[in-house]
Amino acid sequence: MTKRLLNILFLLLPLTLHAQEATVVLKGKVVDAADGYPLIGVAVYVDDSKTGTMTDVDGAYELKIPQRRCEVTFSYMGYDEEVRLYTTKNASAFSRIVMSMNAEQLADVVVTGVYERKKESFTGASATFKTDELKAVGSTNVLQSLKTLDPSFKMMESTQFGSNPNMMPDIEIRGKTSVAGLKEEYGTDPNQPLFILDGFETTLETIMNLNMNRVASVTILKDAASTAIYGSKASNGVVVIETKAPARGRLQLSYKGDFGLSLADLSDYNLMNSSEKLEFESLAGVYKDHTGNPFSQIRLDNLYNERLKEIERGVDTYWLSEPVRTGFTHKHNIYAEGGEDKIRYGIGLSYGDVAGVMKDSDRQTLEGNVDLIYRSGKFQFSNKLSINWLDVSNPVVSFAEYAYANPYYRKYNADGGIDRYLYYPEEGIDDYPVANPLWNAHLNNWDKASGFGFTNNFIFEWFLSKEFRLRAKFGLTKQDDSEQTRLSPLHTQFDDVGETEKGLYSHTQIDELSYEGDVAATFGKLIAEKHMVNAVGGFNFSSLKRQVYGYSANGFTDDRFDAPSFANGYPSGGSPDYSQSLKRAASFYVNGGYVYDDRYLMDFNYRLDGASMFGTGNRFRNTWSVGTGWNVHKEPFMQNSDFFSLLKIRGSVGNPGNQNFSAYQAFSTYKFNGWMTNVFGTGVILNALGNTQLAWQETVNYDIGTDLTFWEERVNVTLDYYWKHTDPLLAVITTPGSMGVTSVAMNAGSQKTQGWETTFRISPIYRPAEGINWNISFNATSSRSVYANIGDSFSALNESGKTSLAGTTRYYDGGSPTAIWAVRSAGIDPATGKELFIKKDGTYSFTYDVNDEVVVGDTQPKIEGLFGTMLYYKGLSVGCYFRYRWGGQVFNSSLFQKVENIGTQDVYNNQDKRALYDRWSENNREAYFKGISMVQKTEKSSRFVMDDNSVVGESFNLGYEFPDKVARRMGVGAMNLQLTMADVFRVSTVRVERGIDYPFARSITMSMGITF
Amino acid sequence: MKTLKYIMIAAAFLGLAACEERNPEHFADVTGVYFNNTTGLMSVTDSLDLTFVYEASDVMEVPVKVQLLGRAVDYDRPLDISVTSDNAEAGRDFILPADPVLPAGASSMDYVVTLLRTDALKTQKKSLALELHGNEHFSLHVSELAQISDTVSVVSFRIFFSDMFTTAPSAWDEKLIGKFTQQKFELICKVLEINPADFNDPAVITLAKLLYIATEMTAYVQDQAALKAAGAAYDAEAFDPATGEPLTFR
Amino acid sequence: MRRIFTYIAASVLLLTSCDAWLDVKPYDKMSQDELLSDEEGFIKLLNGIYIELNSDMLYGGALSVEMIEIMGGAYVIGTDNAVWGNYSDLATYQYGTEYWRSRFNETWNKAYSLILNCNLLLENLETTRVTFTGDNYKIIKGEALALRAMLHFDMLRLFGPVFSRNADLLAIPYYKEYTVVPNAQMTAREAAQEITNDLLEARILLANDPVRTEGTRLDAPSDGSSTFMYYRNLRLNYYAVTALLARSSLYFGDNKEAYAYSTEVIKAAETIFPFVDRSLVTGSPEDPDRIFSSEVIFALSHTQRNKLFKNYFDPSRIPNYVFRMDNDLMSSKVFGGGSLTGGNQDDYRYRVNWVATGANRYFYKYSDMVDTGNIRNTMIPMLRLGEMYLIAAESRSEDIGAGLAYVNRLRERRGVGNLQQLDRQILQYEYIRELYGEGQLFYMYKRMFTPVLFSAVDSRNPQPSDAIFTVPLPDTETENR
Repeated sequence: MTKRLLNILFLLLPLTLHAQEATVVLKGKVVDAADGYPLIGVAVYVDDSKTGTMTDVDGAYELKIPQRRCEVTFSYMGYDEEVRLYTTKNASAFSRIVMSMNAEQLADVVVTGVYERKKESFTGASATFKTDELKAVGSTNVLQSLKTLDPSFKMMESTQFGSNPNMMPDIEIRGKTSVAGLKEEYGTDPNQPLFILDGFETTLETIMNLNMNRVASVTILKDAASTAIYGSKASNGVVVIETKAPARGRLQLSYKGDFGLSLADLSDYNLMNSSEKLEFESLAGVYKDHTGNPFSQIRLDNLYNERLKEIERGVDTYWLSEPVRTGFTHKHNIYAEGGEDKIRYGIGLSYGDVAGVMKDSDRQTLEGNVDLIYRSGKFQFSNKLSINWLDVSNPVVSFAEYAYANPYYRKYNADGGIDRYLYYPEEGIDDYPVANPLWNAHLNNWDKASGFGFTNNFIFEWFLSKEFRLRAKFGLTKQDDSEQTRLSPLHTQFDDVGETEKGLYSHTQIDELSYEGDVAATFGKLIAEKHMVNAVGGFNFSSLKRQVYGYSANGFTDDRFDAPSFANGYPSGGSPDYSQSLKRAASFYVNGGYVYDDRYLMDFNYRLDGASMFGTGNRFRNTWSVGTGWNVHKEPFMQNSDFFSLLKIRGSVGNPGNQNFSAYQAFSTYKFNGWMTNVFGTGVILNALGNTQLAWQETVNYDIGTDLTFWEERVNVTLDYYWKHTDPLLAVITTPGSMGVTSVAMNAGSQKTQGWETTFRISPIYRPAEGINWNISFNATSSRSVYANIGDSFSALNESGKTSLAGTTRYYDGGSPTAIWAVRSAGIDPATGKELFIKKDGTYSFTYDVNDEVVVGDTQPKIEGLFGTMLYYKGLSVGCYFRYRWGGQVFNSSLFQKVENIGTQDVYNNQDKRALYDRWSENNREAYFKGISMVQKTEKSSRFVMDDNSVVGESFNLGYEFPDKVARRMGVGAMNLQLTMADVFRVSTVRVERGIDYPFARSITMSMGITF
Repeated sequence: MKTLKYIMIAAAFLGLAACEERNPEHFADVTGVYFNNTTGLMSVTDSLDLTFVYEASDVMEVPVKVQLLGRAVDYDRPLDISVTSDNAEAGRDFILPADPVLPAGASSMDYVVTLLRTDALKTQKKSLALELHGNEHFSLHVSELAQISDTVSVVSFRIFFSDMFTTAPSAWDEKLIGKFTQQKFELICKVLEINPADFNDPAVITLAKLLYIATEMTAYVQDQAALKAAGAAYDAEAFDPATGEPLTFR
Repeated sequence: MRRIFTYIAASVLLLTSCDAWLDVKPYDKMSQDELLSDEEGFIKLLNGIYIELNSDMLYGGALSVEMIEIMGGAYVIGTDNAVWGNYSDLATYQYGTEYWRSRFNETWNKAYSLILNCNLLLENLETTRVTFTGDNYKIIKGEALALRAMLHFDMLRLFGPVFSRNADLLAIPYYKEYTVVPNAQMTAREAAQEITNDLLEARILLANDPVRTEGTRLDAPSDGSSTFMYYRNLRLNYYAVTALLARSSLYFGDNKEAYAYSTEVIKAAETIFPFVDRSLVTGSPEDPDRIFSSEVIFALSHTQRNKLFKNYFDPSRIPNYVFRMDNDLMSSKVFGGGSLTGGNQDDYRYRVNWVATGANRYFYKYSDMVDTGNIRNTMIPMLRLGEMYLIAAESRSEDIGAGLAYVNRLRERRGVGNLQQLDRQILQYEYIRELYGEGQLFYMYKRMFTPVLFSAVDSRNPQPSDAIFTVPLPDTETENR
C-alpha cells in the first residue's frame, strides 16, 4: 500500500522520468456529475507506475501511460474515486470522466470546527442541528432555537432583566464549573461555553447579533472527547456554528424576512388596586400617629381622607401599561451567491430592528458579508469578510418604578400636565416624597450605545493528496463600541444636589482588537479496507486586546441641551477611568482517530496550551482526552436484521481546562500614593498582589453514551451519563490581615457534578416520499453537583450570606452549589401570629438563630427538558414544544420582600395583593403570613421555599413551503412562509414576580423565505 | 391527525394539574402552652414583684396569662399548673383557682392567683413559683424566649409580694425631695394627709406639689428639732432613728 | 511522512520561542517587573513605604498623638459622650467596643501591608540584576529591614503581652517573605529575637551611612542630583537603627545591650545630633524650634503635620474635645513640685510647648512654625536623643539611682538644675517631660508595669494589669486563620 502513497508524494517532482516501455498519451476531461462543470486538480495516475498528472483549469488532462492493460485512477477530495480499466483499445472511453460528490460527506458529519469526522466514527457526545431544524423552532436567534432543541444547552432566565434584547443571557452546558459570584470579579462569566464561528473563536454578542438565515449548521460539543481539541477554553462545552458556504452555479438571489410582534407578559404581577392599597396602609398603621403630637394625627387623617376622596372619585391608575408597548421586530437578509468552476462568491446584507416590549428599548443591527471561495488545482482559498454596525438604546426609568407607583395617584394633573411628584410631604414632616416615574420618563434622558466592527477570516487549504491536507487560517476582528448615558438635571434623583452638580453625562469607549492564527495538517486514509486512520496536528496562536476608557461630566442646567459641552464640570473627585487588558494564548494540538472496519472506534486528543493570564510558574498546561466507541450495528451478527440502522456505544474521558479569567491576575501591580510627596519625590506602594502559583482550574470529564436509530430510522435515541470532577476550584478567599492583603485569588476545594441526558425522537408516520412525516421528540436532563474538601476557606462568603437579607447559598463540604440554606419553620402560630422555628435538633423556638440553618431545598430540578411534536404534510409543517421542570425548589423572594419585609420606606410602594389578604389577624388565624406590621423583620426561613414545577409553552409554529410549480408561476425559485409564537404560556406552582427591571414578553413572528 | 390532538391535550392537562399555585404550608399540627405575660413595653417577663403598700384592700388578684401554641378547639382542655413556695402557705397567704382549664375556642386564659395581706409581709418578702407541665392535651414545646435585652423562661413564673417598698413610687423626684426612704414617705403622707397611692400618679403629685412638700416638710422637721432642743414633746418620726439627725428633704 | 515530521518539529520550536510572546505586561498599571527594572524603582518603593507610615492609622495619628497617647494617660478625657464620643471608652481600656475593634483592625492591617511591601522590596533586591550606584544597595536593604523590624516591634508592643511578665505567651506572627499561607503566631520572646536579628543585620548594612561622616545633610544637593543620600534624619539611618536597638533591648529586658547602644548614640550625637541651641528655644519666642529638631535622630516628614495640632491640640477647637495634660498633674508633678519631682516651670520643654489660654495650658509642639516651608515644620519625631539619655540612665545598673548623671546631663540642656537622687517615679516624670505627644508613654508604663499617670491623684490612675496593657488581636486576624 505504501507504494501507492509514494506515487502521490512524487507527483510534484518534475516529470522527467523516462519510460522504458512503449507509451501512449491518454487525453480527456473530468467533469462534476452534479452540474457538469470541469473539476480542476483531479489527480490522475496509473496504479503501478510512477507517473501521474492533474487536470488543468478546464478539467483536461494528458497522461502518458504504458501500452498495456492497467488501471487508471481519478481521485479528488470530497468525490468518489473513479477507477477505469485501460485495455489499450478503449482510449476513447477516457475522453469524458464523470465524478460524483462523495455521499457520506454531506450526510452525517460532525463538524468540530477543527476537523470533520463522520458521525459514525466519532466517539464524542455532540448534537448537530441543521438550519431548517433551527428555523423550525424559532426565529429570534440561534441560541434561542438551541435552547428548545437540546436539553443540556441551558439559557438562564433572568428574573431581573426579563426579555431585554440588550442583555446578554447567562449560558451553561451541563451545569456550572466555577464558584458563583466570580462574574463581577473578572467581568467574563467563567461558566460560559466557548463559541466558534466558521472555525474562529467569537463572542456571545456576535452570535446573538448573527442573522439566523446565514447559519448552515450548529454543533454542541459536550464531553471531553469532543471539546478537548480546544484544550484550555473548553471545560464549559463548545458551540460550533458554521455559516452557509456559497453554492456553485448561476447567480442565485435569496431573500429571508422575519416580521414579529411581541407583547409584555405581565401575568406574574399581582399588584393591589387603589382601595386595597389604602386599606393595607391603614392596617399597617401608616395613618396612626406614634409621636403623641395631636397635630400630626390631624395631618394623617387629612391625608387619609384626601386619598379616600380620590378613590371614591374612581381613581385606580394602572401604571404597568405606561412603559410597555407592542414591540414590532423586522429582520431582513438578502444573499446573492453563485460561481463558475474556479470561484464561488456570496454577498449578503442583513438588517435587524428588534423593538423590546418597553419604550426606548431597541436593538438595530446591520451586517454586510462577502464570502469568496477560489479553488484551483490543489489549492483552495476562502475568505469571509463581515462588517457590522450596531445601534442600541435602553429605557432610563426601570419597569420596577412603575410597579412601585401607587394606584391612588393620578397619572396626569388636572390640566393634563405631568407633576414632578406624586406625593410631596408638607414642610417640617420627615416623610419620603414619591417621585412620578412619568416625569422622569418624559425628560430628555437616554441610554444609548453604538458599535462598529469587522471580522475577516481567511483560510488557505492545500490538498496535497486525497489523504493529506494542509490548512492555514488567519482571522482578524476589530470592534469599537461606545456607550453614552445622560440624565437630565430635572431628574428627581438630583433634587437635593447643588445647582452646579445636577444632571449626569457619561461616555465609555470600548476598543477591541483580536486575531487568531492556526496552521494544521490533516491526514485521513483507509488502509487495506479495514483501518481508517485520521490525524490532525496543528499550532494555534491568538491575542485579544481590549481597552475601556471613559469619563463622566455633570452640572447641566437645561433639560434640552444635552451635549457634553453644556456640562460645567466633573463629579467631585471624578477622574477619567481607563483599563486595558491584553490576553495572549499559544497552543499546539494533535488529534488522532482510528476506526477498525467501521466497528471499533478510538479517538485521542492532546493539546499543550500556554496563556499569558497565568503566572510564569505554570504557564503551559496540557489537556488530553481519550474516547472509544463500538458500532454494534456493523457487527456481523447484526447484519441479518436491518432493524438497527445505528447502534453505537461510546465512552470518553479527558480534562479540558477553563481559561475565562482576568488578564493580569498573576501579576503584582503598584500605584503612586498620590496623597503626599516629600523631599525625596514621589512614592509607590503595592496596589494588587498577584498570585504566581495560581494553578489552572482542572476539570476531568467522564462520559458514557449510546446512540440508537432503529425501526427503519423512525426512532432515534441518545442516552448519556456523565460525571465531572473540577479540582481545584478558583475562588477569592479572605485572608488574615497580617498577610498584608485582605483577599487573594486562590485554588481551593473541588466540585463533583454528575448527571444524565437523554433525547428520544420517534416518527409514528414516516413517508418521506409523499412528504408526510410526523415525529414526536422528548428529551430530559438531570444533574447533581457537590462541593468537596472546601474546609472553611469560604467562611467569609458564608458569613456575608448569613447576614444578608435573602442570601441562601453557602459553600460547605458535601453541600451543593445550588442548595438553599434556611432555618426550618413550622409556620405561623394561629394563637399569637408569631412564627415558630424548628431548631437544628428538631425542638421548637420562637427566636430565629442563623446557626439552625439547614438545606431546605435545591434550585436544581430533579428532571427538566422538553417534549414536542412536529408534523410535515406536503409542505405544510405544524409543531409545538413544551419545556417542563420538576423537583426543583426556589426561594420565593418576591413573597419574602413584597409581602412580609415591607419597611417604613417601602410602604409607599405598591405591594403584592397577598400582602393584604392572607395575613394573620384575630379573625384570620389559619394564615400563611404574619400579621401586618412595619416593625417586625422577617428572617429567611423554609416558609418561603417552594416547589418550582412548571410547564412552559415555549414555541408553537406553523410553516408552509410553496410547491415548485406554484412558486415558478409567481416568478420565484422557491418560497416558504412560517409563523412562530414563543413563550406562549407559563404554568408554574410558584408565583414569583418575574421581570423586575424589564418584563418578559410573548412574541409572534412571521418569517418568509424566497429564492429567485 | 386525531392521535395528535389527543396527545397535545394530555400533555397540557398533565402540565396544568401538576402545578396549581402553591403557598407556604399551613401551621404544623403542634399544640402546646406557655406563659406569656407582657410588661408595658411589649416584652415578656417571667416574674412579678408586687407590694401591698399602695393597696387599700387586703386582697390582690394577680392574673397570670397562659398562652396556647397551636389551634383552638371547641372543648375545654385541663391545664397542669403546680405552685410551690418556701415561705408562703396556701390558704393563709394565697388562694389558687381550682382545676384550671383552657376554655373551648380560647387561645389564652388567665390563671388568677389571689394574694392575702398579712402582717408578716411588712418585714418579709414572700414568693410563689408557678410551673407549667405537659399533659395529654398540651406539651411544652417552647421553654424560653430570647428577647433584645434578656432571655426569659416561659414555663415557670415567679411572684414576689410584700407590704414593703420595692421601688420608689413613680412620682417621687429625688432631685426635689431627696432620697426615698419608707420613713420619709410615711411621714409625708401622715403630715400632709396625702393618699399613698397618689404617689404613683405624676398627674396628682405634680412638680408644684413636690416643691410644696419639700418646703413644708423641711419647716415641719425644723419645728420638731426646735421642740426636741427645748425638751418639749416632739414627733420622733421626724428624726432618722439611726443618726438622730432631722430628715432632709433636699 | 518526513515532511509531516518537519512541520511538527518546526511548530514545537515555534512554541517554545513564544514563551516570551506570552509575557504580557499590563499597560494601565505598573507591573512589578517593569517598576523594579531600575534603581529608581527601588528608591520610589522605599519612599512609598516611608510616606505610608504617615497615614492616620499609623504614625500620622493613631500611633503618635491620638490612640496610643490616650492609652498612655497623656490627656484628661471627659465623659460627655457628645464631645468625647468613643475616646471615653478607650480611656477606660474597653478594647471590645465595635468602634475600637475596627480601629485596631485598621492599624494592624495597615502595618502588615507595609511589612508586605518591605518583604516584596527585599525579595526583589535578592533577585534583581540591577546595578546600584555606590552603597545604595546596602542602604536600601538596611532601611527596608529596619522598617520591617520597627513595624513588627510596635505591633508586638501594642498587641503582645507585658514582656517582663509573660514573654512566652503567643503574640504576633512575623513575616519575612510573601506567602500565600498565613504564618502562625510567635511567642513574644521569639518575635523579639527576630526583631533584634533584623536590626543587627540592618546596622551592619548601614555601616557606611553618610550620616556617620557628614551628619544629617539637611540641604539638598545644589547640582539637582538625587536627594537619596541626603536628609538622613528623615530616614532610618545608622544611628536611628542603633537607637531603635537601644529602645527594643530595654523593652526586652537586655539592659546591658540597651546601655551599650544608647551610650554609643549619645557619644556620636555630640557632633551629629547636637542639643538644641538655647537661642532657638528661648531666643526666638515667635518661631521657637518646638521639636528640638537637631536632636531628632529619625523623624517622618508629613506635609500637613499641622493637621495634628488642628485636629487634637488647638484650644480654638473648644467646645469640641481638646487633648491636654491634667492641670494638677502638670503643676504638681511634671512641671512643678521642685526637687522632689524634678518639675520646674522654666524647663525649656514647658516654656516652649505649653502655652496658657484661660485657666489651662495647651500643647503646642505640633503647631505650625512661621516659616511653614521649612523641613522642620513637617517633622513627626519617632526617635530622639533625649530618650537615649533616659534609656542609658535606666539601664546603667539594677539600681536606677546610678543613672542620675545621665538625667542631670539632659536636664542641664533643658535649662533646669540637677536632681539629688533618681528613682523610678522621677524617671517616669522625666519621660513625660521629654516624650509627651510622641506615642511612647503607654509602652513605658507597660514595660515598667506601673500605674498609668492620668492625674496627680493616685487613686484615679488605672492600676497595672495584663488586661489594660494587652490589646486583643484584631478580628480580621483571628477569624480568617
